[in-house]
Amino acid sequence: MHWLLRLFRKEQSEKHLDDELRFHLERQISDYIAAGTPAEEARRRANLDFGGLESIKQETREAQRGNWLDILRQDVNFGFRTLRKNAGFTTVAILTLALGIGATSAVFSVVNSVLLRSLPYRDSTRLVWVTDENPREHIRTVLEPDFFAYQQLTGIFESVAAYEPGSTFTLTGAGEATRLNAGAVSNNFFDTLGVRPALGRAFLPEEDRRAAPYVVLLTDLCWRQHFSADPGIVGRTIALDNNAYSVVGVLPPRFEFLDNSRADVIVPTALENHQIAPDKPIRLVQVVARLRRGITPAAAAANLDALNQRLWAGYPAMFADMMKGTRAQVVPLHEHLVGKAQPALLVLLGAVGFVLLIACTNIANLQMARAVSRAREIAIRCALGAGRWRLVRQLLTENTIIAFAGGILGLLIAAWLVQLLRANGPTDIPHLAASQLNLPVFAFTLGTSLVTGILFGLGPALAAFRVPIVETIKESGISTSAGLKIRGTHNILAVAELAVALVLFIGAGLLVRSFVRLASIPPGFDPQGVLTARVSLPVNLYQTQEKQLAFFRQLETQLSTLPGVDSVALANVLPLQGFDLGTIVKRDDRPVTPPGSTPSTGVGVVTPGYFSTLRIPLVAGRLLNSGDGRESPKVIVVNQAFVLRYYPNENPLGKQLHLAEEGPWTIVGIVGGAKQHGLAGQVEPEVFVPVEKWCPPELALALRTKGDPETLLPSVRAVVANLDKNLPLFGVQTANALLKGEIASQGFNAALLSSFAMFAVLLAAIGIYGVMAYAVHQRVHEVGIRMALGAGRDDVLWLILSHGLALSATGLLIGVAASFALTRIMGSLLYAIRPTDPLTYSGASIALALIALFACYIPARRAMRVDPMVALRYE
Amino acid sequence: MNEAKPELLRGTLDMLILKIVALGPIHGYAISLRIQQISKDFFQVHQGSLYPALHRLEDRGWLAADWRESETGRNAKFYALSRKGRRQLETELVYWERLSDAVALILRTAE
Repeated sequence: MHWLLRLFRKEQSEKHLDDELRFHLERQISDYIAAGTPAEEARRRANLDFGGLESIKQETREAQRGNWLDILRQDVNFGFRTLRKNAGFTTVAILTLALGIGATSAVFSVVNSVLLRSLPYRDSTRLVWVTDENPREHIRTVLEPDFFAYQQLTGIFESVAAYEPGSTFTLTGAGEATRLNAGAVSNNFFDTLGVRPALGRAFLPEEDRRAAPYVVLLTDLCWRQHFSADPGIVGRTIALDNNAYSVVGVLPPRFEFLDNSRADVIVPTALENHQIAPDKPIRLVQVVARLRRGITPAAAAANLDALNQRLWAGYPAMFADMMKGTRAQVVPLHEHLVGKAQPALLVLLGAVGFVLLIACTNIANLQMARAVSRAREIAIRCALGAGRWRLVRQLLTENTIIAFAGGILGLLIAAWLVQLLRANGPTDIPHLAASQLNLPVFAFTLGTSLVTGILFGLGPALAAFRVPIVETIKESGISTSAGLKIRGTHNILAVAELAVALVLFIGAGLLVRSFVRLASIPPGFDPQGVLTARVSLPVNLYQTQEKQLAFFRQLETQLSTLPGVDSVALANVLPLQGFDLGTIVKRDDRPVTPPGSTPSTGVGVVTPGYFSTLRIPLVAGRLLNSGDGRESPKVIVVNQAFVLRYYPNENPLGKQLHLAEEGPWTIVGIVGGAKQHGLAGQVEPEVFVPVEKWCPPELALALRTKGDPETLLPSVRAVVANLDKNLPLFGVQTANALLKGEIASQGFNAALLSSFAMFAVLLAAIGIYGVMAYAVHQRVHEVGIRMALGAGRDDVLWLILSHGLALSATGLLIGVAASFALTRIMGSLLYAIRPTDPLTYSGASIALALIALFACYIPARRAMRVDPMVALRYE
Repeated sequence: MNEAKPELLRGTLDMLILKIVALGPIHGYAISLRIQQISKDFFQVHQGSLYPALHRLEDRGWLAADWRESETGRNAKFYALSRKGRRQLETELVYWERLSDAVALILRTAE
């Protein structure tokens, strides 16, 4: 501990050291005098023998261990002083670094919470999503009886559970009537995931049966929102769709339902292990399983395929045909849940890493320039006895201070950016809302800033290490050879920056162009001024189709008389929402085709106002109208895609067909196509059946108005509440928002990558400007001589510009080559544009070349204005 | 300055200092004189090496130092060998003998 004490007794030990050395010197002098040397000469000789007093002191101090702390403090103090003196440099360096680190940390925290986070289930690496994929129908699901068969594969799976996401319930009797999201699960679901309810228990096997009394589990959020976290909730009954469900438990706060779908309440699936038969309805379920230790997903899939072949061979021909070509898939649960978001996030992470790289390069550039202009200072300090290692350490300390300041400021920027990303990110990135700056992110940022500080400070610091003392001081400036060497490094850095910036620029260009193409696809309907919402009737109160129809007729009439409403549509699904009803089409004038050979066709159940409200154009025949009532002949309208599939080169008007087993239906009209499965998808064949004929208990509303559709909402709510106060209106959004949601993730990616690219290009421009400005500064003397010898201003301009152009051209060439290699990974993120799109490549290169040219032009013009007299006098 | 005189090896200087201090408490100036005498002016020891070495040895606990009156009446820092330092000196001497024997052997064989 004595070295620590010595640290506090610093003043005293300084004095002791001084006394000790002075004693030595004086004894030497007196010895010389005693030997007969004159006093003056003795003093001179003793001083010469002794060497530099200060440097001996310094070395002696450093020989003592406790001093490293002291030296560090000195270095830090000195670093702060130097940085304060160069406020401009310091500000630019810290800001550059902070922005780079901030953006990197923000994206990393999203990646961390979305991709790297482990799932909130026990031993989640052994959990797999199991499905049978039919590539022909794009169906990924498991047949109810197959699920029970899979449970017998006990050598492969520890347990196999079924779940069904995406159902809804209306909760009444707990405040205002509310629509709740629900999931259904088999009784072993929570055991399979390793989740225990926080209150009460999970479902029992006897509760997971058809005729069993209704039971429900609440999620933590639902329990808090609707039941004010009542600890006595277990055992009480709640009303869901006007049925009494008894609450058996409350799930822990960390629980998440599968498939990134929200669930407020969870009920049993009540699946039945019955023999498969053509006349019995069959349920399609999702399956999650826990693999036995040491079993790989591929091995499990092979086992399932073998089992499936045996199972399906025993099924009735219709099912066997349907399952033809279907293969089992066993996907690690983590991949199933986040796999879709992965490519985009990795591209963003890579991009932001590039930005950080450019930021660091810029700082290295700045440091390098500063190291050279400080060469004289360093040489003088060397001459005064400063150790070279000490100097290097000092330069490194300065860099570390910059790095730390940048890191802390970067963390603030990151915190703000994460907020921004969470608020504006697309909803299809799972767990985005959960992303936050936490310990790993903090460690990442700190690590990045330190590595940055040391790595990018080391080069310039070591360059300073090699400064030749005598020449530097003599030349009263930078020696030409050292200057040239530095300029070489400068050039490499500038080229690298331009190349990286171009890669980002091209990547962003591709995403933006892809987004613009996607956004400009006509959706096939007019979303402007349309409000949409959904209403669902509880079937135990509205038991018959007549009752349901009566309600919807009233609703339609009352809505259409609201002031401001131009037209009203009711439909089972709206455009871009997919199909919720499919059917097998059989032409009455053709022999029956074998089952399984034709895919199913979507059915839109609509009111006549559907087409006018959404402005879906009539192509031929007539639209549905109010005359097509419950008792009138069965008529349908079809879309053009339907005609292409079933009546190519024929006039379908007046033709008759059967939908499933029902018919005959007569085609009376053909309409244009509104997209059903996303903007990028094709328009699928669809038939439109009047609501009067097939009324489902849940319908979507669409209201067209001339003004802002949002303003209609209160009066629409009032109309629904007036008809039945227990009916919630849910899924409220404008059709524009619906459309925007479709392309939100592409827009998000394009916006993020563009802002990164902008930042990168700005940094690269600053970088090349810095290099050129420095080069001009160095060549002022040369320019002066050239001008004195008769070089014109244009020659000088060209001299400098050609240097810049050579750098830019090299950087851009490397950038284009790197982009060819790197943009390939973006393939899955692009729509209707190839990763090697020539227009994007040339556009981005030209734009960046112009920016680089401009960055070179400013210093070049300064060189042009050099006054030869002044330049030469400079020396 | 005498350019021809070789610099001492670092470890050798430490050993020499320990050896000199072993004879009794002594201050820095006297140590430098003594080194020159016993090495018959062959080694050149800069103060720039001597004082850092003294402080390093003190720091390691091999030398103990105190301030007392010198022969001229002025206060000077006197160094003395500690128990730890004596052990260190013994090890270094053994090591040095082995090293010089080995070097001598090599030189003889090489002839």
